[in-house]
Amino acid sequence: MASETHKHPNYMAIFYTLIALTVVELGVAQLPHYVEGSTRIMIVALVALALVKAMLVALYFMHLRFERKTFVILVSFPLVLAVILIIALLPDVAGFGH
Amino acid sequence: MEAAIQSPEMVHRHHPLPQAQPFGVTNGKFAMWLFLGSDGMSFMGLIATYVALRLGNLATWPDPTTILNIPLTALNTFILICSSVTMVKAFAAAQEGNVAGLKKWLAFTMLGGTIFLGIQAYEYYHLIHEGLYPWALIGEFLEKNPGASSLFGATFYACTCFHGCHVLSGVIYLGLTLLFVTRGRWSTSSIEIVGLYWHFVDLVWIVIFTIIYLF
Repeated sequence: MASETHKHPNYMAIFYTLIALTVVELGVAQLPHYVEGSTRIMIVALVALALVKAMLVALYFMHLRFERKTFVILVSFPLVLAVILIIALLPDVAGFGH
Repeated sequence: MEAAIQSPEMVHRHHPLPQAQPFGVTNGKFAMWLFLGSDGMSFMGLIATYVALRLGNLATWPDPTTILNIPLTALNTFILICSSVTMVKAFAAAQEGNVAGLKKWLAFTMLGGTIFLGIQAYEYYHLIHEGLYPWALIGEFLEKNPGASSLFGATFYACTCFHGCHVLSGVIYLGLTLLFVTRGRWSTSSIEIVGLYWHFVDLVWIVIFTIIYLF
């Protein structure tokens, strides 16, 4: 019910932000070609930008911002499992290169 | 006062009924979110596999930014984000009871998804023509990248094709929804649920585009 009565988020503003962030991403991806040793900065920046974009889609397009907190916690749980998956894979990655 | 008591929201808040919605969402929406949660974990598995195998084979991993057509894929990303906007416009039209607008925006969303699939098919055609097979590297590709690991092709196609199949399913799902709208059998909730699926596919592409194409 709540999601049907709330005021529309400004969808076009979200859209322009997503497009702008994508353009920034394409620019950041070129960084190592111009600045030596910036690969790590590029990776961190790109992951951060992708996370911000994904959050915007989930919060506004998928209306998560307007759902009950208990529901948001419930559907966010797979993200906790994603972190566990990454931690579980780390020893494998560390062992490979040597 | 009587109107307030009869409002379903009030009844739910003060006297939870067996059919009450403990999380404030309809059963259909709840089910779609649960599906998206498990589907998201499938994607996480594939993406994590890509990252782990790449980090474990840094020396033989070909440079995706030189192999893949980044401008074309950026255009595809743009098209998918646009189709997310047409989807929210369809939902807004549904909320206003504007059936003509709903049909129009659903059709535009389907068009966006179809263009995305067309571009992806074009991309695959060229990559396979150059010798990037899902199970091996041959021909031109191998000449340009001697000693490259065939794991790149395997994980690249696994991630992007799994996503492409989701877009295809989404276009079919949207088509069926459009058919039901044409027959007058739809609700605002059903439009929101198909929208959730579509935005999820967009969200996953944002992650795949960054991890696989830009690094």
